[in-house]
Amino acid sequence: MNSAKTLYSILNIIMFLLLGAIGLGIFVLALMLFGVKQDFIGLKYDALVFKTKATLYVFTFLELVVYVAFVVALWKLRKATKLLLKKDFYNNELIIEMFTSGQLMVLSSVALWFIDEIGNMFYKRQITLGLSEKTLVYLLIIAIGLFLMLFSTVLRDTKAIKEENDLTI
Amino acid sequence: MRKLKLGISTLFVLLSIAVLTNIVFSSSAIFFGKDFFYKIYPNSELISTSVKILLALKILALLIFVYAVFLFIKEMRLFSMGQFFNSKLVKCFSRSGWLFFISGHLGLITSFFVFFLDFRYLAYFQIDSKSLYVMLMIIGLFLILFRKVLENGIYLKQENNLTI
Repeated sequence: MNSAKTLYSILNIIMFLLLGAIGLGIFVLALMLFGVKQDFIGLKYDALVFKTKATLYVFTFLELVVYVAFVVALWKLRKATKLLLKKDFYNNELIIEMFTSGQLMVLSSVALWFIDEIGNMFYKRQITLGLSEKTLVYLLIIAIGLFLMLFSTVLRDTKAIKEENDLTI
Repeated sequence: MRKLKLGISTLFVLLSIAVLTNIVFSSSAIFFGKDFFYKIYPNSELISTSVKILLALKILALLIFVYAVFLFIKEMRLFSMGQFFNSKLVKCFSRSGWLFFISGHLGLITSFFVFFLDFRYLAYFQIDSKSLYVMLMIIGLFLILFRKVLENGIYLKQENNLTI
């Protein structure tokens, strides 16, 4: 089994699913802004949990923005995997894509965490505290992001070694 | 460096405590019929074997996940010291990568089946978010990929050292 190919296809599937979800979210928000009533697609959160209805929309909008950042990160990762598929390890583009993708992943998951927690504190009527699997997912995404950033520095080191190697011959 | 190590180990201990308590509570209720939270008043004879098999699979996935994290953290010391091109690191990457991949697969499969379960049992299938398991699979595949890159780097470095 080729790990790079599998990773590439998994990333593709996740990205299309996320893009579909974001598109649906924007569509529903736009419908609500224009005052069109429909009841076949609802928002993830119940309006009753929030103190006012406006906060629910702000909350959903902020989450959509963060999802877009995450999709950009996945897109960059996909580009990097494509280069890895070609066995082109020591490429400047690959290093830069990996680094920015890691940064975006860390940023988006930290932002989502803050939005979630602050939203819980200020906007909602009920608050649940504790370690849930959501926290685990955020931590995992932060770990992946940091790992990508670290690995881009490793690749940079290797690239320097390779250039030196090529010159000495 | 020391602070980083301490922080990572504390995080790991917290993770393992969370996972282990989850496993202990759910397995005591489903396998042995001793419910600590009185969520479903289970009678162990009434619980069907399919629920037990699902729980066993989930516990296996979680344990593999914790073990893989342990393996990974153990060798991260080398990484933080800047010794990237080490054969130990390559071995650890491939091993924990495969373990992550397997545990992600197992967890994803069980979490699909949990969807069809009776809602009374859902309280005992707490950590089964699908995104968590997909992320685990991605991490595993990445580690396996990076192993190849590191192997290439080790080869290059050896060649470099020899030419001097």
